[in-house]
Order: sequence, then C-alpha cells, then structure tokens
Amino acid sequence: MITINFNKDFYNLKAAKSAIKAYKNLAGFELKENKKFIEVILKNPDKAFKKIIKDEFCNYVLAETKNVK
Amino acid sequence: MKNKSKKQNQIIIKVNPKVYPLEAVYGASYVFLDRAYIFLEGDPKKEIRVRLKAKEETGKGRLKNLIGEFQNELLNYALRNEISKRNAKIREYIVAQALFASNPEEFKEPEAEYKKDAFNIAAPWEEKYGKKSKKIRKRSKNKIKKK
Repeated sequence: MITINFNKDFYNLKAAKSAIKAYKNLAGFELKENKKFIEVILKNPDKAFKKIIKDEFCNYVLAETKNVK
Repeated sequence: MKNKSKKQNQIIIKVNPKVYPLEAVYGASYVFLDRAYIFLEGDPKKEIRVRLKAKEETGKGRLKNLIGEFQNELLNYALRNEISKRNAKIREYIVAQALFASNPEEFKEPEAEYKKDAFNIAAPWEEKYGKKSKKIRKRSKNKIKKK
C-alpha cells in the first residue's frame, strides 16, 4: 500500500481524479480529502510498475493540475 | 533560490514565490516532466519547495545540470508570465480585430429601436390626419390672440 499526500495549494482535486481514472488499470485507488491535503492510497499496484508508479502518478497529477489551471 | 540535496538522485529547490510566481513553477515543472519526477511542497505564499528526482540514476554533476536547467526554465517562465500580463490588452484587441475582419456582419450593432419610429411620431400631423378643419384653425388662432 502506498500513500501519497498532495498539498491542496499546489495540486487540484480534479487533476487527482483524472489521474486515478488514467491509472485505474495499474492499481486500486482510494481518494481521501482533508483541509490541506488530497490523500491518494494505491493498493496492490501492478508488479511491473511497483517501483515507479508512485512517482509517475505524481507527475501525471502535476501535469493535469497545470492543464486545469 | 536555495538548493539542498536530501537523498541520492534527488534534490530540493527552494523558490521564493515573490520572485518566481506559482505559474512559473508550474511551467518549468511541466517542461521537466519527461526528465525528472517533480513534487511541489511548501507554502505558495512563503516558500515553494520543488523536489526534483531524476528518472534514471545520475551522478552529482548531471543532477547539478538538471538544477541549473530547471532554474533557467523558471526564469524563462517568469518572464513569459510577466510579458503575457503586460500584453494582455493588446492581445485581446488584436484577436478582436482579427475576428471582426473575418466576419464583420456578425459584429454589427443592431439598429436602435427608436430609429424605426414604431409609433410614427416623426410623421407630420397633416400626413397622419389630413388638413386641419376650419374649426380647429379658428380655435388655434384665438388661442394665439389671447396670449
């Protein structure tokens, strides 16, 4: 299980949802939200991408955030 | 702008948001997405921390190059942002002119309602009701005399 916290000042919830949609075939996702952070939990990630999935996912969210803004 | 290496293969760049706006940070980060993993942290009003993690194992030299390039890109985007803000009005004007030139009829102002004279106010009395009768003419003459 991998937990990623995205600071809401920099990252967009819409972007996170969009990234989850794009990565849904590679892992199970859980999305939580609090006042300051968007919390994404990755469960059972694909073995082939286990090492890089977190970083790639973060990049994807950043790219989507930039596009949304 | 300060750099601080934390772990191997990654480095944190501290950015002053008063010098480089958040838009510039997004722009520069976007350019580097294919070369590094980028994480934005910190406070967008006080200090933005950009964590750069190289996609492949790299030496310190290459990591330093990456930082330098990122900082250049940051400057590039900051300037671009500033110019874009300054030229916003003239850009809008040029686009409006281009749109107008492509189809001027679409931008024609509709004719004002009063010009149509729906109640025929502008037409003279004679045209509307014919010539004045003798009685009316006498009355109007008497009125003028009294005054």
